[in-house]
Amino acid sequence: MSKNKFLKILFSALLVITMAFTATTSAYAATGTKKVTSSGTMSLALKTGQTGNSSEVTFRVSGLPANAVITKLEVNPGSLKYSGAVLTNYLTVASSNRSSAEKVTWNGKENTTLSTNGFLASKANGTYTISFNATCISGAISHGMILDIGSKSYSNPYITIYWDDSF
Amino acid sequence: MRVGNDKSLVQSRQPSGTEKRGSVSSPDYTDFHFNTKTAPAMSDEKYKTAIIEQAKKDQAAGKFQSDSAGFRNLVKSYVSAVSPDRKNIISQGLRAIYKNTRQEPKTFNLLDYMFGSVKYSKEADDVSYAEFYDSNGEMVASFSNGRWISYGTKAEDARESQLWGIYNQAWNSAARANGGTTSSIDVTG
Repeated sequence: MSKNKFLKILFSALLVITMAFTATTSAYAATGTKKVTSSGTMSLALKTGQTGNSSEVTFRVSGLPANAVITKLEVNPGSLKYSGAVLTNYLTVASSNRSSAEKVTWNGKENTTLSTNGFLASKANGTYTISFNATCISGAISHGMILDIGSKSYSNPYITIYWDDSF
Repeated sequence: MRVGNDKSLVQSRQPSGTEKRGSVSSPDYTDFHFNTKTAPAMSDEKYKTAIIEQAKKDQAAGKFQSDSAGFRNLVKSYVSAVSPDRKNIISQGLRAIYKNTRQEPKTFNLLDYMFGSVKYSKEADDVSYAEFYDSNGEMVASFSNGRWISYGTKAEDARESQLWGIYNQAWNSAARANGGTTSSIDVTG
């Protein structure tokens, strides 16, 4: 057998092995991202000086591979409306697949991407809820008078799930 | 694929009504989403074996992680071993709030007690908001609008992640041994 023929056979064999391995891997593993939107609103109304949690927005995620797990979970809290001076303290993210909620640092900026860090390797399909915590510094101004109540809301939030089923 | 959303509550716990102090009912500590310190049921080595066995069993049954009641029970038992004593932190915190007879500002109060500290707002006997902290200063629960939320401590989060890692590896190994995954692959953007 000539040297060239030997190299051709060797190359072909390596190519077949590589393709077989790639095919096997792709049959077992997939990754992807899923953006889940909501038309819901997180909102609260507080008396001046008070702190509280907002109403929740819930996202239901299904149809991903049964064993898909989260590699990254991001939250966009949506568009802001407010009256008075209401200071956002943090975002709370919870999942049906995790035993506790996570407190995510957030300055209250609208339409921003917030990263969580406690969901890595948890099941991706499930139910997720978000809410925020805020403190009313000063009430709204109405007809030249400062009221005792301020309010804040975030609409159309969404979550982005990065998943992998071989993790 | 079905993806939707609504306003139903998931993790915020409605009061169980089993115990009440003032206007506040205690959380339900038997719930998957509300852990309190519990003695471990077995050694960590035995937990690891139990997690692997649970993964194999779930894979054979076509279940994954929280689909399985056995998995949820195991998570609760495994994580609760490092949980703060939420039950005492909350009950003693509420006791301190209602025992406090000093003139209180209408806004935010802070009380320290043996098990931790609590920040709260109270008007007359009505506690509208409270945050409970353990002795390390980590917030372990909040109460607002009649709803409880349990926040994971660093130790709890690390232990739950560890369990997911052991379980996922065993589940995927079982799937490969059984000749493939149990679901179709669905990559979406």
